This record gives sequence, C-alpha cells and structure tokens, in this order.
Amino acid sequence: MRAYIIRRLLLGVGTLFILSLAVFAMLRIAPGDPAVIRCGLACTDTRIEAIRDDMGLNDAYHVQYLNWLGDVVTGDLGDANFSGKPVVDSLIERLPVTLELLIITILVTAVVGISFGIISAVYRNSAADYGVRVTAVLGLAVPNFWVATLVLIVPLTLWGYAPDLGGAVGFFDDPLANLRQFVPPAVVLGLASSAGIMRLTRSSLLEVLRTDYVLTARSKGLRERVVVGRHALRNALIPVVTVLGLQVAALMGGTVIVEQIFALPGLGQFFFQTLLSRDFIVVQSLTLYIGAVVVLMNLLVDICYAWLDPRIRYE
Amino acid sequence: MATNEAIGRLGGMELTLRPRRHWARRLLGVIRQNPLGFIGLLIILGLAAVAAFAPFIAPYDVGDFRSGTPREDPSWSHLFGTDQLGRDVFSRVVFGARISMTVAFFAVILGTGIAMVLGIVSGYLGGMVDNGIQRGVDTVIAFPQLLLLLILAQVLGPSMETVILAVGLGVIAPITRIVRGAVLSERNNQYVEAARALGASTPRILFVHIAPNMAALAIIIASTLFGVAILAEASLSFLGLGIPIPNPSWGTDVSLARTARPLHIWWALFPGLAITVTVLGFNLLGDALRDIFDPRLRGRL
Repeated sequence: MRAYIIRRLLLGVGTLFILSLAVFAMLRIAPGDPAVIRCGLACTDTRIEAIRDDMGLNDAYHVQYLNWLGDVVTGDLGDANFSGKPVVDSLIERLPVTLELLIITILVTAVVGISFGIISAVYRNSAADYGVRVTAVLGLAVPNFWVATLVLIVPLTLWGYAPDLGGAVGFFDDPLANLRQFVPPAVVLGLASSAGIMRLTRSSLLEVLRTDYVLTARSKGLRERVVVGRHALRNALIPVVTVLGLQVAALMGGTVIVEQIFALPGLGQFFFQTLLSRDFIVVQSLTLYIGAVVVLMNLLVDICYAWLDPRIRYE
Repeated sequence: MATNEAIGRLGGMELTLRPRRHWARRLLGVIRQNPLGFIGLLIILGLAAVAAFAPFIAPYDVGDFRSGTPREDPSWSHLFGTDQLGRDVFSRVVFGARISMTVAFFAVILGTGIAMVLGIVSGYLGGMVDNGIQRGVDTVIAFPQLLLLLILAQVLGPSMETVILAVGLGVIAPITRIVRGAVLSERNNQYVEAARALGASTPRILFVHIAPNMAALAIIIASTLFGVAILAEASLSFLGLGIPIPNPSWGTDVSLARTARPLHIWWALFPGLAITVTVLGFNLLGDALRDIFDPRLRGRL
C-alpha cells in the first residue's frame, strides 16, 4: 500500500508538471502583454520596460518558468491586478467560503443522491422509481446557471425577497444567516451531481440485488431492510463513493458560476476575476494549485476504495 | 443449437437465427423498447428543423428592438414576451437554436475525431506513445473542465470558432480513454493478426481495419456528448466568454435577463427552458443509443 501511494504521488507530480508546462505555454501564446495590462492606462514605454524587467518578462523562457515554479511552491504570488492585494491573502481569505460551499454541496449530493437512488432501486418500476428517474434525467439536463438565476429573481419579483448577497457571513458568527447564504447555491451546484449519483446508486444497487449472496441472505429469511441495508448496500456503494470523489473536480468548476451569481467571495469568483482582468500570471498559479488539489483528491478516493473493498489490493 | 451459439456472438451482440422481419416492424420494436429515446429523437429532429428554418419561423429580426415595447409578457404577437430593449424573445430563442446546434455539432465532431485518432494510436501502439498520451489525458482530466474552457476562451478571444475549439478540445480526454480501452481488446482479434501477417503497415491496420470497428462506439459517444457540449457553450456564453453579443445565444440571454433591471422573469425563463429541453433530448437519445448498441458502456458514459 505504501509503495502504491508513493508511486501515485510521483505520477501526480508528473501530471502537475505537464499541467504547469501546458498552462505556461498557453498563457505565453495569449495575446496581450502582461506588463501593459499591469501598467494600466496612461503608461509610458519606459515604465512598461521597467515593469517587464520587474516581472522577469525579459528573461529566457526557461528562467521564467523556473522562477514561477519557485514562486508557486513558496506561495510568493505577487499582487492581483484587479484588487492590488497580495494573491496569497485573497486565497487564504476566500478558501473557507469555497470549502464550505463544496462540503455542503457534497453532503447534499450524497444524502439526496444515495437515498433516492436506494428508493428507486428497491421499489423498482413503481411510481416512486419513475419519479426519481425523471427527476434525475431533468437534473442532468438543466443548466445550473439558469436555476441559480431563477432561484434569485423569482422570489425577488414575486415577493420582493432578496437574500443577503455580497460578503459571506462566517458560520460561527451566525450559523443561520450563514446557512441561508450557502444552502441555496450548494443545492443548485449539486443538482447535476445528485442526479448522477441517483442514477449510479440505482443501477449499482440493482446489479448487487441480483447476485447470489443476496439471494442467500433472503432465503435465510432476513428482513428486506437487513438484506438491503447491511448486505447489498455495502457493495453497491463502492462505485458511488468513487464517483462522488471524482465529482469534486467538476464541482470546483461549477463554483465559478454559482459564486458569481450568488455573489459569494470564494475562490471560483477570484479565479474568474483574475481571468477576466487577463492577469494570466496569477491564473497560471491558481491553475496549478487547483490541479494539485484534484490530484490529491483522486489519490484519496482510490485509498478509500481499497479501504471500503478489501478485495482490492494495490501492489 | 450448437451452430446457433457459434454464430450467436459477434462483437458482443447476441444474434439468433430468426426469420428477418420487415424493417418497419423492427424499427417499431426498437421504438417500443425505448420510448424515451424516441421522444429524445423527436425533440432533436424538431430542434434541428427549427435551427435550419429559423428565418422562416422567427416572426421578427433578432436585433429588431422596435418589434415591441420593452418587457412585454407573453402574448400572441410575442409568444415568449420581449426583452428590456423590446426585442422578441421567441425569435431570439429560435435563432439561438441555430448557434447552439452549430457549436455542439462542430465541437463534437472535432473532439470525437481527434480523440478517436489519439485513442486508437494510444491503444494499438502501447509503450512510450501510449504512456505519453495517457499522461496528457490524466492531466486534462485532473482539471475542472469549465475552468479549462474559460482559460481557452479568454486566451483565444471570444468568437464562435473559439467556443467550438474550446468545447471540442474539452471533450477529447475522456473519449480518448474509452476508445483506448476498446482498442486494447480489439487489437487481439484474429482479423488484426491476419492483416499484420499479410504485411499491412501499422497506419493501414489502424485506420483501415481497426477504425471502422470503432465507428459504432464513436457514434454512441458522440451522441452522449451533444448535451455536454450544449451546456458548455451555454455556460461560457452566460459568463460572457462564449458567443459574443449581440448574437442570440441562450446562455447570453439568461445572463442579460439576470442583470438587467427591472427584472422580467419571462425573459429569463424561455432561453433556459430551451437549453434544458435540448440537452434533455440529446441525453434521452444518447442513453437509448448506448442501450441499443452497447449496454456494457452503461455507467461509463
């Protein structure tokens, strides 16, 4: 197991290396001189040249690349163009917001997806099953930005109700106000993933319910609750847990949209603002951090997998 | 019965010796078994027709802000109402179908095409090439797709071509992996060995012998990707990095309706509904095609 983890970590480093090269190259091709962008309007040639020197844009590409990697590792990312504040400060300030959003979203996804998936499988072909399946198909088709828009503007036009937008309330300062801010965006963000988990739980559980050991459990006279809850579910949930872990990457992408609409000052919004202000040097670093988080998440998922299913042994 | 079994397995499909039914009856059978897929097909055909005949269906010009007064509710002269400039929302949704379908079509063709080549080469050659391609795929999969699309769109500058390119490139990685897996099992077949024994070159084996056997897989994958592509285009446009205004993209219109004040719910409602119905149609059709041609892919696509 230890050898496996080490090998996976090395592979992860390789992945991040490719990602860093790709992003570095892509943002060099991008039109627009970062120095000109940083300098802003009313800028002189000598000032641009000074900024270019200061940013290291006159160095050879490999020097620039290595310097950048050093900065990423040490967390020395400079200031963001649009806010003028140090990037690291913004990241630390915004991390809890996105983290809470993701945690609530995953909780919603797991609870809603798994429980309705079980209902759907156990009462197969019943009205409840069809209801769940139709909901799941719709959940996968509906664009989250549209639902988020409606969630905000429908109460506003009909009842003049607007949630508290802009600036996140800390959970420990005022839990209720905090949840009122975070639950709607989390539910919207979790629509597609809940629908996917519903379908997966259903098909996985149906498959397990057909196996011989479930038949054995039933013929022993066990109650259906025990057969499903203790015997079948354990195996049926293994792929579900994997997919749940893998969805974190997609959800991180979704935070851009949801944080933008619900005006949550999180990392997704920060990423989007730096990208819009063409602050490519910061975008580059953020990309690498996000990649690192996803690589670690995937590794954790695979370790959980081995822990849940003793049949799996990694050499 | 023994002969039956021998003929009975071909490419993973059960073939039984039954008298051949008339094609229309067989089609009817397929439809009866997949009613949802048939509904999906009808939705898609309907939308394709709307997209193709948009100028004849839309009662007004998409940019004509004298077609009505601002923020009208739905009525017979403006089925979906009007936006804050007085433009007819129904006409914009109709022309939006054109943009959405065009982007999805070319993006899926581009993505599936490149992914097929990469997957086939990767799976057949193995070794260093395979390793290189698969590490690249790992890298792309390791990154949230929407963020990748946003970066690509911002770097390349907003235009329809950019959106097609970004969405197309975005779907390559997962397809490459599926195709590679299929090629790995395909390459051990006798016909590949026979071709090699006859002295066929590697490119010939790859693209004359193996590629045609991947065609069904490609169609299934492509059909499930249309929904993904349409959502991707809409999300990009919603965030302002997709189809540039004043083009009537559904995503852009939802975004405009969200930010314009005073609010007008109808305006936000219909473009989003159009996205939902379109994606729903493609998903239903894709699921049915997968179940008909290759049930083993269930859960992987």
